[in-house]
Amino acid sequence: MDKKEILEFIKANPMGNLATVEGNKPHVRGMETYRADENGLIFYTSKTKDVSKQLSANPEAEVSYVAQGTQVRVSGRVELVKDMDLMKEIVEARPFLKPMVEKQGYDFMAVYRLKNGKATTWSMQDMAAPKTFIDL
Amino acid sequence: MDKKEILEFITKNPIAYLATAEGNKPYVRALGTYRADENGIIFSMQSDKDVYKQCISNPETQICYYADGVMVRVSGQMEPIADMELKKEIVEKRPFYKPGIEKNGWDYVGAFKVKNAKATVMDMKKPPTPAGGKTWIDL
Repeated sequence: MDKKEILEFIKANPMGNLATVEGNKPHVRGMETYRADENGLIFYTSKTKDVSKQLSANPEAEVSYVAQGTQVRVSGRVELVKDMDLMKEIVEARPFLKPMVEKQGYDFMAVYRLKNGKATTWSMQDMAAPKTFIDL
Repeated sequence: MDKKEILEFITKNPIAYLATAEGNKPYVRALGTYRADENGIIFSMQSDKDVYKQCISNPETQICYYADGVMVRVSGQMEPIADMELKKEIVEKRPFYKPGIEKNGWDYVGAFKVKNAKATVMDMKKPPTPAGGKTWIDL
């Protein structure tokens, strides 16, 4: 897969598993990818979550996406995005966030961008293929 | 879910998202769980893989399993198993290891058990757990 195909794959299969490190301990959880394009991958969560604390302390991340016997892994550093227009757009698109916004404003939201990630793909059809990395 | 139900969940849904750490960098990949029962959660992998090297140099791990809107997360340490009987059994079920064994011997098969495993369950159909409210069950 080339860069374009990788981004299409993530858009079609936006549920990733996002790994973080705290001290020497890895953590992983399911995480929706709100957007995947030239400008990076966008994730959103709540600032009170462990994942948010872990990313504030250590922004290194890896995300794994799997569909139809193919895996795409993206690694890189995330940055906190403080773009109010993007936050509003996410809440419009994910109305289950609205009650929290009404209660606490947009402050509870943590939006992250993984920019300049490196991707590697794996497929069941070619399990022995060596790992190659593609800049996103 | 109690311990028994968690082990059954893993047995039924063996695709694991297994995270490791190398320095400050996290890694995660999908991996099939070999077995999950009273004797522990067992994984196998080829010893020339990055995941194997990561598990040896830092055994800390966290693993996610999913089905029907439920996520089970397991934390623990990857403990290498040298048990030859187990390795032979693994290779019977995973014959694609055979060429590697012929070339490199039985060290090619890396078997691990998750030591000090504890699990937490999240049901996405239920209201979210408040921050810090995760409960952990010893497996």
